[in-house]
Amino acid sequence: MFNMLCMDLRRLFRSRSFYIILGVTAALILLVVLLTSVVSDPETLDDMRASGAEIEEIDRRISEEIRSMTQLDLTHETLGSGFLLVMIGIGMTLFVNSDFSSGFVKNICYAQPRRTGYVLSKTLTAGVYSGVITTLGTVLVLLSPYLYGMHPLPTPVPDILQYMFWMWLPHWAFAMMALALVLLVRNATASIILSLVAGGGLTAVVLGTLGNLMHWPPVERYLLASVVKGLYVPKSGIEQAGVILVCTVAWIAVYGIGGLLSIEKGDI
Amino acid sequence: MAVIQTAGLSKRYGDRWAVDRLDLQVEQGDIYGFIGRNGAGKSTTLKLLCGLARPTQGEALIFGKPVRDAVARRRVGALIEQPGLYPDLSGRENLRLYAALLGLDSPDRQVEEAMAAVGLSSGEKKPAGHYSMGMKQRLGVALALLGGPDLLLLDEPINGLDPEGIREMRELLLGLNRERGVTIVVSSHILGELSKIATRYGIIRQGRMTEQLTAAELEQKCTDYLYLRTGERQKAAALLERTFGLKRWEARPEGEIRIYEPVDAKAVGQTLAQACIAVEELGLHRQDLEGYFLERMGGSDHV
Repeated sequence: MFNMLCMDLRRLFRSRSFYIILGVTAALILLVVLLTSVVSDPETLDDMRASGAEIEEIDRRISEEIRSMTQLDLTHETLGSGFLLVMIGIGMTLFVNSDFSSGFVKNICYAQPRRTGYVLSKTLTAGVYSGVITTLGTVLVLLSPYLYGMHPLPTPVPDILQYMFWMWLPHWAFAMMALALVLLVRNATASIILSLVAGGGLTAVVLGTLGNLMHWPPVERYLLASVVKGLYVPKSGIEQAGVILVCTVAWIAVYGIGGLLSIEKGDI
Repeated sequence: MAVIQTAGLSKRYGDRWAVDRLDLQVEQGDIYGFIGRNGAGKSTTLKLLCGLARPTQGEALIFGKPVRDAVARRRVGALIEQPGLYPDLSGRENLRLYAALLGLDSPDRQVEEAMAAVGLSSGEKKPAGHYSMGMKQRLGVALALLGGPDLLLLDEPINGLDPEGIREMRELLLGLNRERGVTIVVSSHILGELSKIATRYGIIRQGRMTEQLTAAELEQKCTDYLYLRTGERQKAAALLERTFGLKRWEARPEGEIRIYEPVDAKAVGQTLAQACIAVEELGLHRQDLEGYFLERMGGSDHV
């Protein structure tokens, strides 16, 4: 398993798709923060009004709210939408699927016949993948406002690290969803579609609506998109941390076992 | 010593048996030519031997151990169907990844050696996805060579190679077999090429092993022979054996007598006529290697 993990990590940091995902993530974050800085700047709002745009009181209130945000508030406003979930889901899909599309999985399963080793290695690689994207996303959101002249209120470093850690866990579990789906269907399409749908929160919305109609308990709050979007640690305290931890462990277990069963039952 | 031994090895996909009670034996030092039409079950058999597919019935032993045994597995290199290569990585990087997977000592050196062995430049930076079919095939063989295996399982290794590449591959396989004692199982559609290196053959048809024979046995079977049909087969055979001092002849189950020694057909006919044995058919059969295989593989289309 250790050899396979070494191989997976070596490939991860040499694969083009990984750097494309990093590049797209960085570009989108810079764009979102740029738009945020535009909306938060009162002078820009005045200029827009002077040029005939309809600026209402609520726009000014939002602008004021953004200006009074801490670094962490701004980070969560940007990343809490599930945007990183989508990027991690797509990235992990491309990474795992290339084993099958290239046929290299034959070499892997031949050299290391235990499929458990394959799934464990990919599970740890998913942790690294999601960790890198979470770190990049957080650091960029923390730093990029200064590029655009924004000055959010500073957040203590331990709080930022804590936030990154608790964000990383559901991201990791979401990467496992991509792994399990690719192992099940052995192509990328379904996993990319589900990454977009589930990462964007559509699954949670649909499940929530159905739950309301059918009077189910609110299970949608335990979906990973909801966990990420919910109140964030450290602001929300130990209760949310517990929910994140339990959801992460549960979903990693579900996806890990599902992935293992998928690859175990089928020939390569 | 049997390097590969299968007993009743079977694999079913749906209601079709891709491999059907296959008994295959490969001895130490063999270059085993595995021959069959498309869909005959060659690749599935090799997949079963590699542990990439699970048998429905039967078992396969490699070096006396089950296929999934990690120690036995370390002694085997394989190229099954198309070479599995990450297209956005260079050939060298693909090999380096596989070396990491195998946990090889001094992986860079072993990668260099494997590339040199198949005639690829280690300085080639081009992604493997841009390689020609022949280069990919060479790289696939280089992957199989990593770790210095004692047994190589190669599925169509000369596919896509130009004549020069085929010659180099042949010399490589012969060199590995003679100098390092590597046992090689190689499936190929190019029968003429296979016959230049194989020491033993297995012919598979509809998932079943129809015949296993050594190169010497094959040579004998492909020798020109005189055949004759008569109603008094035993009497005729005894007479001819006595008259011409025959040593290499056989009475076929379908009622034919085959004489593999150079005898005059006219003299044979006269001898039988004088003994009042009626000859229904008498002639000289010429069979080449390809014809022999085609006959046993079940037809001449899609060899």
